[in-house]
Amino acid sequence: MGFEIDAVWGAMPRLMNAVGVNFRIAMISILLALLGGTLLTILRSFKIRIVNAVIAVFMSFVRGTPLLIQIFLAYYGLPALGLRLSPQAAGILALSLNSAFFVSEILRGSLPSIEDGQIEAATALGLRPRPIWSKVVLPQLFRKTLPMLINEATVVLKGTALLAVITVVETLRVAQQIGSSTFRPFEPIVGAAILFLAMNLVLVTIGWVFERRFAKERR
Amino acid sequence: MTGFALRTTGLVRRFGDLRALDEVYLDIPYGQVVSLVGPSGCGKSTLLRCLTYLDPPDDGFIEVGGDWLGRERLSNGTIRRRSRRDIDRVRRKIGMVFQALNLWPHMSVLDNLSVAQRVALGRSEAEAESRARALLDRLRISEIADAFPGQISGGQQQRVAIARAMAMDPEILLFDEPTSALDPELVGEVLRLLKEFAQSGMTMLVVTHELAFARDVADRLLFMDRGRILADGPPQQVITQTRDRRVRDFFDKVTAFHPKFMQAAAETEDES
Ligand SMILES: Nc1ncnc2c1ncn2[C@@H]1O[C@H](COP(=O)(O)OP(=O)(O)OP(=O)(O)O)[C@@H](O)[C@H]1O
Ligand SMILES: [Mg+2]
Repeated sequence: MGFEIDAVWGAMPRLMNAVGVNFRIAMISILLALLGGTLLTILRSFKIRIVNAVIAVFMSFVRGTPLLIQIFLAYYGLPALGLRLSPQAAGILALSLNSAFFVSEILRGSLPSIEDGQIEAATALGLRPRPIWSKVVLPQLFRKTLPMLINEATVVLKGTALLAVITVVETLRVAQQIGSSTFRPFEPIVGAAILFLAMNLVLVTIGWVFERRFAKERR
Repeated sequence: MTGFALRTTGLVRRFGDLRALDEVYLDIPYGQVVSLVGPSGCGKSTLLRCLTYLDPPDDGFIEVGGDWLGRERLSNGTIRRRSRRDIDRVRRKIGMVFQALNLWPHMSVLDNLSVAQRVALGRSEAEAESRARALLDRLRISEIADAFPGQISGGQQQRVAIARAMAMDPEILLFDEPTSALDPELVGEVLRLLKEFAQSGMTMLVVTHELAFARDVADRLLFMDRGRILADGPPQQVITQTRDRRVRDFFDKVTAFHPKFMQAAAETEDES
């Protein structure tokens, strides 16, 4: 039983129906991760000892355990705490929480590159902390970290394939279904890979467009 | 307007055992141009930072245009701390031009001048922009309104920093060594600009090593050493007639070893 390219194309229509699920989950998770990561960064900047200690504990958990386990925990573990989520909701929760910590690490890493003087100038002009974050600090952080943020977004997008294990009917799961019904497990997986590659290309292109726009400002 | 644009009483700032400001008393009437000189480390920058409350003083009081900044002393002698919000309200009346300029690199020049007007003063976008453009016009840099700070020259950046502070209509403008980061050929140009402001009635406190500025533009010269103001008076008088040894040594050295100052002085003279 060799490789049949036709079997790849044959699987495509059904796979492409499922691609939207991955893309939607990824987009929602990325947005939530950006929001959560930004709030975490601001929270950490207050340097409240207990708060930062708690964040550090979560951080080591998020970094030190496989994403797959975090997804299992969100789906099978939370009901024990009385929170029963749909497979998609549990998946979005796990992906966005996981990614929020990485986004926060990325943003925090480039915080020192914004000179204190810029913040002092804003303070001296009478700007309050909130507009200083929203007008002066965050726009620069996002510009500086854009390549890393795009990379993180592609990680989230690829991570949506893991949701197959908690019964989300997304591209990888559909590929497996096609494989078991046609007795050709390999080709649908190749089809899924092509589609993930295409989706990532879209993300990277979006990032590239932004980066070019920002590049004009610096020079 | 009568009264003082700025008034400090017994301002003290300590860093450990060091008294970077050691009871500074200073009254600046509206329209006066004051230049502040003194040896390195004597507390000039610390004074400006205290006046903007970026570095709150440990003791003493600051009044800006009749408003207490940070702490107030009531007529019955009780001292009250002001809220953070109130500090932000009053410090807007002081315009500060930093030595490092500190422009925001991700915003156009126009936005650099407009953001604080809109957010801190609540001006409409149209009003903020038209004021910004008027200032750029006045500083003869209207052509760079849409450029970003990284795209313009050092002299232009300096003007943008000045315009950003002026856009808030401050009661007084503070400058920390406005010419020290500039190429020598731009120094005379900035001094002429400051002279124009002085003639337009702007109240200014300028930390500078440019004796030319002190002599030809300022109404008043302050000499500071170890956190104290040791000499205060009309510039010529302070430079030539001071008896205090430390003050005299300082001016002797500055005029002897820095031909650049004398050259800039000559240039400002040519202009007038
Ligand atoms: N944050 C700080 N912590 C400790 N000491 C400080 C701090 N800021 C300033 N100082 C000290 O306070 C003194 C006054 O410093 P300041 O920067 O005001 O001097 P200056 O007159 O502006 O000098 P220069 O002409 O070199 O700019 C110096 O001895 C300096 O080392
Ligand atoms: Mg200084």
